[in-house]
Amino acid sequence: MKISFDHSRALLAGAVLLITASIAEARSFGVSSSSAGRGTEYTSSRGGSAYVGPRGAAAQGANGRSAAAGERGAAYSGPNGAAAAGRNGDYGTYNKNTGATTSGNRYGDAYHSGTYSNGGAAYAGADRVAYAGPHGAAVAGPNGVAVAGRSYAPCYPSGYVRSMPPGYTTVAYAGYNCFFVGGVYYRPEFYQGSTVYIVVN
Amino acid sequence: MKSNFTLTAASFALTALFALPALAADAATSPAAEKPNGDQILKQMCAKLAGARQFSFKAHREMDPALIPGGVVAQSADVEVTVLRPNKVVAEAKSKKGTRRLYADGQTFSLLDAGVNLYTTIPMRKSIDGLVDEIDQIYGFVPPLAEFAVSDPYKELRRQATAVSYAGRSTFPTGFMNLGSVECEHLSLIGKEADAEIWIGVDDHLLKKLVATFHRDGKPQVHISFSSWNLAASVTDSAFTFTPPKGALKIPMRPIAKLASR
Repeated sequence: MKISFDHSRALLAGAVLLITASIAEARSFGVSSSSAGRGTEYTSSRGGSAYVGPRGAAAQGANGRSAAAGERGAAYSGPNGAAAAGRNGDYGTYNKNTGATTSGNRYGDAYHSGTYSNGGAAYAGADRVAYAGPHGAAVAGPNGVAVAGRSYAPCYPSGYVRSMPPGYTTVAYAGYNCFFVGGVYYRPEFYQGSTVYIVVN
Repeated sequence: MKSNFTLTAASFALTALFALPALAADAATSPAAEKPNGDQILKQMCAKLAGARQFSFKAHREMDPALIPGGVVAQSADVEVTVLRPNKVVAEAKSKKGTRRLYADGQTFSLLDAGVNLYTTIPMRKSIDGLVDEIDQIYGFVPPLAEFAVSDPYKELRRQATAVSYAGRSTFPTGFMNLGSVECEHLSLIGKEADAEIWIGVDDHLLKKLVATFHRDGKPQVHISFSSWNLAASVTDSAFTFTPPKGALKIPMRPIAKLASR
C-alpha cells in the first residue's frame, strides 16, 4: 500500500498545482476564476477534503490518503488497477460487476469501495460510463481509468436551485429567512454573486 | 582621367555623406516605424481613468453562458457604474433576470437583488482595490467592470494581459441607433486565461468596446460596449450608502471556499 500512498500523494500534488495555477490566474475581464477556474474545496465532518476544479478533481482523506483526476481522463490507479484509495488503504476499489469505480462520502472523503455513493464523490453507472458526483471528485470507467467531471460552465452544488417555484410564502425557519412552498423550505443565499435557494432538508 | 575619377569619387562620397542621414530620416518616418505603440495607448487610457477621482460610465455587457455560474443561456445586461475613489462604488446591472445593485461605502459592501427584494451586507473597510480582491477571493465573483474602478487600471489589465499589440485604427459605431461613429485605436491583448480586443477613442482616449475570448471549451466570450463616460461625475457620499428597500429580506452571502456546513 505504500506504493499506492506515494502515488496518490504525487497525484494530489499535481492536482493541487492545477488548482493553484488557476488561483494565480485570478479574474479576467469581469469573470472570476473562482466561478470557473479555481476549484472549490469541500470538507467533511471527518476531516477529509476534496477539491473540484474545471481541470480535474482531487480528494484527500483525513488520514492523508488522496486521489486525483485530471481533465482529460488520465488519473491515478490504485494497486488493483481501479480508481481511488480507500480510507484505510486496504479496501478494494475495483468493482467487477459495474466496472471500476470509486466512492466517497458526500463531501469527497474517500473511505470505502463500492459502486455508488449516495450524493458522494463519484460512481460508475450501470451503463459502465463514469460520472462525477454532485460534489465532485474522481470516478473510474470500466477499464480502470479515472476521469473527472469537467465543468467549464460553472455550476452550483447539489441542492441549490436558481429560482423559486411560484406561490411561496416567506417564513422564518431554523433561524433563517426562508421561503416555503409545496412542503419544502428553501433558504435563499447569495452565492458567487447570484441569488440561489438551498433546499432545506 | 585620373583627376576626373578622383573628383567623381569625392563627389559621390560627399553625396553619400549628406544623403545617408536623409535616407535614415526617411526610414524613420516610414509606415512601419510609425506604427503606434499599443501598450502606450492602453497606458494613456488607463492613466486618464486613474486620474479621475469620481467618475461614472455605462456599459452593455453580453456574456456567454459558460462564464455565468449555473448559466445555460447567454446573459445580456446594462450596467451603470459610479466610482468615488478611493473606496466608494455603486453599480447596477439590469438584465432579464432582474436588477442587482452593489454598494460599497468604505465601511460595508451590500448586494441587493431588487427583483426578489433580497439583500446582504457585510463589513468591508477596504479601498476599491481591496474590495475587488476580497470579493473575488472569498465570494467568487467580480463586481461588474471592476477593472476600470480600481486605482491602477493599467496594472490590473496588464496582470491579465501578457502582451499588448496595436491592431489598427477603425471606426466604431456609437450614439443613437449607432448612427454616429467614433474613430478608435484597436488593440489586441493576449492573456493567460483570455485574449481581448479593445477599442479606445482616438480623441478622448476612453474605452469604447471590449471583447474577451476565454481559453476554455467553446471559446466563450464577453462583449462589452462602453458609453456615457463622465470623468467629473457629480456624486455625493449618500449615493453609495445602501438602505434596504421596504420589506427586503437580509440573507447570507456564502463564501466559495467551504460548502460543508449545509
